Amino acid sequence: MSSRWPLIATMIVMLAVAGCTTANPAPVSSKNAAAAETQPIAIRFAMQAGDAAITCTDGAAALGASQKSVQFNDLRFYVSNVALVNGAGEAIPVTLVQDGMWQSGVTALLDFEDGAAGCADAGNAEMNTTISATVAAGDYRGIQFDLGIPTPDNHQDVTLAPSPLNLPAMWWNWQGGYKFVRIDLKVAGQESTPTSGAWFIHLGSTGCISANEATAPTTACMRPNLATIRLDNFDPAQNIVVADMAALLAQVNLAESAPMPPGCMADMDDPDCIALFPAFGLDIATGTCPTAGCPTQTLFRIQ
Amino acid sequence: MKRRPSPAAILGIALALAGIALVGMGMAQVVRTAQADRAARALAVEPNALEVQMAQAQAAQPVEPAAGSAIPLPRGFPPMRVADDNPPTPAGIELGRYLFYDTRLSGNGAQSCSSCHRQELAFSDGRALPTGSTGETLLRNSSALVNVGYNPTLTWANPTLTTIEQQALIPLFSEFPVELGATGHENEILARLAADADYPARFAAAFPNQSDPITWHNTVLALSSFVRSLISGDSAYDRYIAGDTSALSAAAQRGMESFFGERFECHHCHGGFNFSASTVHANSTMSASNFQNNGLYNVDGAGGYPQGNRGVYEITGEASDMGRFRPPSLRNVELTAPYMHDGSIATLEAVLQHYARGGTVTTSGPNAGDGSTNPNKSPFVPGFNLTEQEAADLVAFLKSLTDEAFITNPQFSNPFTALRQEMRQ
Repeated sequence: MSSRWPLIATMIVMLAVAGCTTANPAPVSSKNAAAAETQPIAIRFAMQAGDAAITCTDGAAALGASQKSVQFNDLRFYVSNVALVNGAGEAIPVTLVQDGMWQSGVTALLDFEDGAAGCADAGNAEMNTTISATVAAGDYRGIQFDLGIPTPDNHQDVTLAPSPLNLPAMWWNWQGGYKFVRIDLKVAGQESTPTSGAWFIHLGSTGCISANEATAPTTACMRPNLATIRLDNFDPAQNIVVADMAALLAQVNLAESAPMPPGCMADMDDPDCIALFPAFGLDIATGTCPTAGCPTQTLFRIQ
Repeated sequence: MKRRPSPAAILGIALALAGIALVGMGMAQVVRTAQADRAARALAVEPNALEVQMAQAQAAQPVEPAAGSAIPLPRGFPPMRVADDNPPTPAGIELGRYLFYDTRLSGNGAQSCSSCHRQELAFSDGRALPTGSTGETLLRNSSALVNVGYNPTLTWANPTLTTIEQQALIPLFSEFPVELGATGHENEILARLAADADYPARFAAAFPNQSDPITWHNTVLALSSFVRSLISGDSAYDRYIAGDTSALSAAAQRGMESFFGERFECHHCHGGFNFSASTVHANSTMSASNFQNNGLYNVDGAGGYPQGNRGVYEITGEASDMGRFRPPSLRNVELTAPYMHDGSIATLEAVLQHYARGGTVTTSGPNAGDGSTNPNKSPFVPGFNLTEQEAADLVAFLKSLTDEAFITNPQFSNPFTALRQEMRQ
């Protein structure tokens, strides 16, 4: 499969170039995509609470509107269609290294959980914090990526899909597709409540219609929830992309969650999601960002 | 053996992508394997849901052996991960079948593997706790042997036990408590096999080019191959997913919706083709072991589990591993009562009540406590309201996972019984 995949990836990139999918905030340059000179690039990510790194073991203090301490039981998210933005404002797609593990086609998994402590429930030992790619030589000043998995790849058999799309913990079913983001929290002091203090953040497409959960939909999900994030002032050599849990949860009261499920599993009617979704830049009713580049998102920042 | 899309599949993907471009929308069922040509057809004809299901059934992958093995796999099952040093062969599987049913493998000749793993019960034994060959009561419920070749870890709660070959040594040689009790009888048991009329030829066929193939190592390899061959994927549910909409009753279909829904959360630990989050296969790339605390006990109010049955904690010593056990496959679950690692819940209906309550309350005795407030409990076991109708529907769905062909397959049956029947005829 691996030998065929670059071809398929190229075709998907071409599709994106043709502008048939969601609007891109920066015009994607087609002439540069075929530029002769390319350079290897490492795009580093971090998960933090403010300035503090977070892990399965260490957790974080004073998160959310009620300033709760939490442990983390999962810390993973997919990104896709990664591009660097040049001085002219053009988004130049990067080509992911096809490593058979963390990156496949245009999609990469960023995995900050190590399977320790509470992450033992659904996690594993392996971790990945960096995207490895090549990109046309140039002077880049920004970054753009989709938080999630491209729609054409989102409804497939998790047992046959290439890594990292082969993780059942990051997959709902054929119908719903993948969890683009899985951040599981356990709120301190609430471990003996019926939900064990859980506060889940599972972001993915919703309103996906098919005959049953074991069947893929044949029409678009009503709410893709696939945010195209654009961040300025990013120099890959100097900066890292930070996913900041303090910012994500700033408007969320972790001391309570609306009845079932605990936290947000992307349900547009769940009050927990209504409080959380603005931090992704997403309009919960439409599952899209009202403005290209999702400028109102607060989860990601450059550091 | 990696799967490679055929040229037709590549063409299918191209057609599907072209289809997306033409209709000017961002969605189509596009996957990167043989399903892609299906997607192209789906775009072209706008089928209804039933037609999509039927198309998937027709385009289903043919039954194919696992990599280099003699084990056919059902539709929807990925290739099994098989140890390089024990590829399944027909002769090895058949030898393992004889050994599995042979009481001569126990020290005192009283039991075989099948004493606690009966085919008609999906290779479970119907008891809360089994009794070993010398009369000792074991600590944990006999596991059903269903698709265990897909288990990343074997037994109920041991993250270090990753192959059937390792696991098989436990019932054979364990002393505390004694199961088959082969310890101290090692040479005697091998001598029994060597003196048999058939075993020398069966071992020689399974392990050719060995001067003395009747060894414990080969016995374990053959037993493991037979256990690996115990594949179940032909239930009413499987037929329904393959397109036979008459395979499930209306109640079972409602139960299926509930099972995979977010209200009851069953699928988080019991999802996927094998109905278990503890599943690994040839296409897995990352660690897949899985253990969960489901709130069965809370003996000290601090998450404690009964002495001698504390789950992964007994291996790792980590407090957070207290009460964590492997979520078993639910295939054939109708046949594998009683339930849980200690067989403490008698029926499927009672299991649903356990999860509806978010844990079990033990009112008296040394294990008294409220499991629902166990601090190590999985967040996916919060409890829920369950109507009688919903419970009946869920039970109907769980019973649709029963595979009659599996429990009657003559290839899995007791060969000695079959031989006796032939001799009578």
